[in-house]
Amino acid sequence: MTSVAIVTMCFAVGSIFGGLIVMLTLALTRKANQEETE
Amino acid sequence: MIEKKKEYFTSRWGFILSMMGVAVGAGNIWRFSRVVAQNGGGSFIIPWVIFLFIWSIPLMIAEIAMGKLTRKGPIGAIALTAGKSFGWMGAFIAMVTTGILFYYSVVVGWGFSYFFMSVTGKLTSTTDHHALWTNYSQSIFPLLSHLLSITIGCIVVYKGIIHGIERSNKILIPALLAMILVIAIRAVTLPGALQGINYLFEPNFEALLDYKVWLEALTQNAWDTGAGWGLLLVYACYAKKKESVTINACVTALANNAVSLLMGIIIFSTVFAIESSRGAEALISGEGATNTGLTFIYLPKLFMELPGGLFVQILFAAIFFLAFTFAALSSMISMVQLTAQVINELGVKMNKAIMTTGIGAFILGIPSALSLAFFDNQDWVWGLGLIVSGLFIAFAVLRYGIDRYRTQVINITPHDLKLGKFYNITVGVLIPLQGIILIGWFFTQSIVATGENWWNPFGVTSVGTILLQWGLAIVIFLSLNKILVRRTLKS
Repeated sequence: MTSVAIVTMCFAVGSIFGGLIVMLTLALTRKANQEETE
Repeated sequence: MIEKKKEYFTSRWGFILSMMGVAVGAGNIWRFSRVVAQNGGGSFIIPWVIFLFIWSIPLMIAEIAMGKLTRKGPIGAIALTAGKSFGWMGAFIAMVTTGILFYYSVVVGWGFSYFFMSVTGKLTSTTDHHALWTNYSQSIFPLLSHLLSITIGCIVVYKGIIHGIERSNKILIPALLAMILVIAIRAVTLPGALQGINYLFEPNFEALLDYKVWLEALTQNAWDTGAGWGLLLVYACYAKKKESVTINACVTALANNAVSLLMGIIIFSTVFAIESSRGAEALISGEGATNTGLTFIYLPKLFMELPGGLFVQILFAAIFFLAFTFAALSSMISMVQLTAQVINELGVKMNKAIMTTGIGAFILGIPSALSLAFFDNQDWVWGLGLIVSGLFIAFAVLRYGIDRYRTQVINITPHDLKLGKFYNITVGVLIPLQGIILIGWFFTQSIVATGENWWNPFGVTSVGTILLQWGLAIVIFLSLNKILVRRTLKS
């Protein structure tokens, strides 16, 4: 793979999959917080 | 019959999976890869990621918040946020999505049929996949599979939010993701697959400066993520009060684009591994250059050339078409729910509303099942209508007051991400600007392509056919606005 393709892949995969992982983690943390509160 | 309004999604994951079911559909599979190929590979990916954040996610946030706030389908939701005189806009949003349901059910049926053809060996026993598709599409089978898919959709909705929609999505979406992962592993381990992945991500800087690439990237986001369809709004009516708005919108949108990216990796790996000399040529201007051509002619042909023997070829094709069917079915279920809910809110009992939706969708989907030209016309008219739907949702937020909407509707859920003032700019300026540019671009393209016949109301992809069908819908809904709003809000 060319270096520009790798950079674009990191950008796309990083923002999409990275963002998804962060959001899912937030969702899980939030759930735990709620359970504690409840 | 379960009273719909008393039901709520029982778990956060049930809600998230159902939202993913809305967003992940046929567009991730049959449109994304060919549009990437036609717009310079990696050059398309960059604006595609950008537009996710300035079109899809802000609209999805607006929709989810609107559903949670009003607990009504599109007519009631728009009437309660924008004002009672604008309920017709909600009816238009519902009409657009219902119009899509009529032919989308046919697409689900094609998926079913090709899955059965894969497992029965019919796909492997032919060498002429073009003839197979032509014969199939001109036979009675698309009609029968259309009936099957709309029946399944109605049964799921009839069973209610918890036992129907939530339960089915808890099966469909994890199964879909598992199937995609299995074929992704096979695809990327094919010899030569890396060339395809390189093509998918390598940007052509000249193409990056081409405004058409940016407009195509915006179009893909507008059609593919489910933003502006009114579907997320409808599901959000059944979300518990504590369910977050922003996090759920982000998870749904990102998961949707993650599936698109995975499908892109699968398709480009397979294409370059099997046809390394042609590369993406077939996706750009060959038999894979249309949605149906790619899915039902070109890919089956490639699957039959996969190394590993007949068993691997049948397995790969069967998993692919089952994944395609699951993705499309989960979206179609939400369309049935939206249409039935709108009818229900107009004063019809839910079971009758579902039956009306089912029978109506079957009958009005028949022309699309029997004629690909009619199918293309409906896809053109209501597909572009989705951009208008998105604009109407942004308009409702504007009428409500963007800052008020952001601080008093979106940001009130505890433990959710809090949106800053950039959201005001996105919904108040960027979305209207993107929507108007996109509609103007599509109209201009159509006028150039159809020439003097641009006004023809019976042209397959003319501006005239759009103006006729949208115009009819808008005139009817405007004249019935008071009745529609009164009955909906009374319910």
